[in-house]
Amino acid sequence: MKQKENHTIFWIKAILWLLLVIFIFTIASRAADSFTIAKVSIENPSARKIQYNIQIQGRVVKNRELPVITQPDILIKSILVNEGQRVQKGAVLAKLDIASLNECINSIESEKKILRLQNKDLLANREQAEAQRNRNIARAEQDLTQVQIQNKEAVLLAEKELDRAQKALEKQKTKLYKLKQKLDTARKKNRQDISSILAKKKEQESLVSAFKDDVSVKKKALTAARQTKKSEEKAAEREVHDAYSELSSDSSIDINNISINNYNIQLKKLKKLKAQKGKVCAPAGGIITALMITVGQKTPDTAIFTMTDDSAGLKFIGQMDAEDARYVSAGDTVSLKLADKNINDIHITSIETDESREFLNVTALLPAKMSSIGESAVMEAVQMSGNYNCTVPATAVYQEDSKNYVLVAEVENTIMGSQDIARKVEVEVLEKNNLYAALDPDTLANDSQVIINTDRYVNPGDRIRIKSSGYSQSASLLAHNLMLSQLFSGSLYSH
Amino acid sequence: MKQAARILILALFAIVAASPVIFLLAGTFTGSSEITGNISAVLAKEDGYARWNFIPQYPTMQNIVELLLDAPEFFQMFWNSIKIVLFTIAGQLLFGMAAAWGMACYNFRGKKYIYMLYIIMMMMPFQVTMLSEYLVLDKLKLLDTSAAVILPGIFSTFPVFIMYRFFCGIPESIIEAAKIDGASEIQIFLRIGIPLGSSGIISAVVLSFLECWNMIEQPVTFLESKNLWPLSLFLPEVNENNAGFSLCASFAALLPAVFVFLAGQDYLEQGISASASKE
Repeated sequence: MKQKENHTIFWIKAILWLLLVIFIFTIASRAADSFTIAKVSIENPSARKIQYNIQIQGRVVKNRELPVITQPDILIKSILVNEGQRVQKGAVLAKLDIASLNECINSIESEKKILRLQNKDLLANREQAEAQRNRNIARAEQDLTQVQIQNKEAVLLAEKELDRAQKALEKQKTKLYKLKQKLDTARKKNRQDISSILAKKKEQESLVSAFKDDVSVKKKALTAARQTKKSEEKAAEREVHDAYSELSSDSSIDINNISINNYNIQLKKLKKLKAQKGKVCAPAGGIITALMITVGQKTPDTAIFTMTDDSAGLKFIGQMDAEDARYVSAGDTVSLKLADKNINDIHITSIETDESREFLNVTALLPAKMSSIGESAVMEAVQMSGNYNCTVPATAVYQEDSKNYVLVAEVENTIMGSQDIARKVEVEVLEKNNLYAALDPDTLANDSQVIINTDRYVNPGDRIRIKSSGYSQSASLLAHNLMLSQLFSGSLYSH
Repeated sequence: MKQAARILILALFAIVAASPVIFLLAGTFTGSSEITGNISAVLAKEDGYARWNFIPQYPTMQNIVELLLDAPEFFQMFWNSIKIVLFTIAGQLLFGMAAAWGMACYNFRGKKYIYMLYIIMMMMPFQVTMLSEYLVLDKLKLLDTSAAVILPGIFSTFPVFIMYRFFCGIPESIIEAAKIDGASEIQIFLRIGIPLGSSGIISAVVLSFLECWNMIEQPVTFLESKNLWPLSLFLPEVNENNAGFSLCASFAALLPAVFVFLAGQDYLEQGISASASKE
């Protein structure tokens, strides 16, 4: 009996020890679980506008470049400025050799003189040619008149000959007719002289035939006379026409006059340069950007210097991603962040596609003397969307298989009691920037507790612990500030 | 020689009977990848047959560590089971012991019918009384509370039946002598009935413990809140990925029942033999 009780007590003690061990591991497992469970910050969807902060890196460059041009082929005596040097308007940039200048003036004047002499000769030749032409015209017209008269007379003569032959033919035909009537009468009366009449008739018929041939010849002669008249008159008219068009146009004098005018202009400039003692001066205040000449050489017919124009101001040129183009457009008011100051209320002048088509070149004019050429700058453009009723921080939106979703905290009755569980809710993103995403309110209720921040990866269905609201707001603010700092440092947040 | 052959045959039967426990023990120390390879034919529906190593190829404590440190749900359900079991057994001792003593020691009208009713109730499976119990608990607003499982357990008839058998075995002369010595009815029950029927009481406690510890239908039916579920509902879904953990959890869940059984083993044998004897 005693052994039986000992046996029972032993196992009761074992049960108690087992319960003690279970109790210890109950505490330990809960402690371990509290370390592995994700701590999250939540936020209800709220109404706000989506703000796009576009930053464009670039630099300040000159707005306009002026060429400095002088007369060509003049020896350069000295250059008084260097590249990058700022000069005032009227400052002497270079000096030209006076002797070379005089030589150039003399050369041009000689050229001018030659041209004038050429013009004189050309004018004389032209007058002579004009007189010859007039003579030729007169002769041709005279020839034409003469041809017309001669041919007219020939035709009239041929017509008269034909008329005379025709009349003679008619006369012989009348005679033949009378002989035929006489023959008929003689035959009716059976007279003895029929044979003599027949003989006369035959003779008369041969005469008529001869006169017919004569008329035919005369007709041909008339036709020939008319053709001759026509062809000769035509030839004479051509001669007249040719006489009129004989004088060809000659613009040499006009061309020479133009050249003389150009020489006059050059001379005027050269003389002005000579009056300035060969000094080439700056047309405006600015910075010399390039020298195209060297001392001892002759001036080219292109620019000898290029320089910026202070009166035209400066401009900002930057590049942005092509996909940001929808947030920025020409005419937008933006601000410019320089190394030591900010310039507000400047306007985007133009947006042009880069050759690569991946970037866009953005240009904005800057007020003069607000910056210096070559300075790096960041253009900041802010664009606001319409008002959205359901927005959440961009960090709360995840993507899987081209579908967007958020994780919302929901209370669920689990084995461990009421616990917060991360639930996946598919949403439709209407608009999104680096900080916030606007969602379709039909896909997410406004009282949803959206997980916006977590200290470890959370899968849908995982248990979570919600941080206290004060801590949550602090964390949210911290995350917000962190994102802003990333944004200003140029690294855009990528979800 | 005959003796040895008999022992060998019995040992073989014993191994077959104990093989589930041996599987549990082996699975507890087997890694997930090994278990997956062994049982994928069954759980992952692959070709071939499931196999089992009584001694793991690569023994590991991974499942035990995971159970002890990474499964607070197991302990929550363990304590839920302990709560249900303790309150149920305490209620059975309070009400069942008195009921068994009353029926064993007193003669009253209808006693036989009440005893018959107890027998009938004891033989009814839970599925038969489930709906009526549900309706009663609903009326009492006890659904989805631990009391929904504890209360029907307290008034279970089986412990009353066992304790009744033991109380019937107490000689009437001893009770008469106590009465003559001036003992009250309560004193007789406390000083004579309980000590003399302790074997039956303990065996009833052990059997009730095992019954309550393993109950599944009652909590599934009456408890909706998972935080009230007992350990018997832990890991309802076993797959190839959590098979090792499930075996380890099952083995751990087995320990209290085994300890209680060993503690009350001697009394349990008496209880079972008492329940089998005729009135």
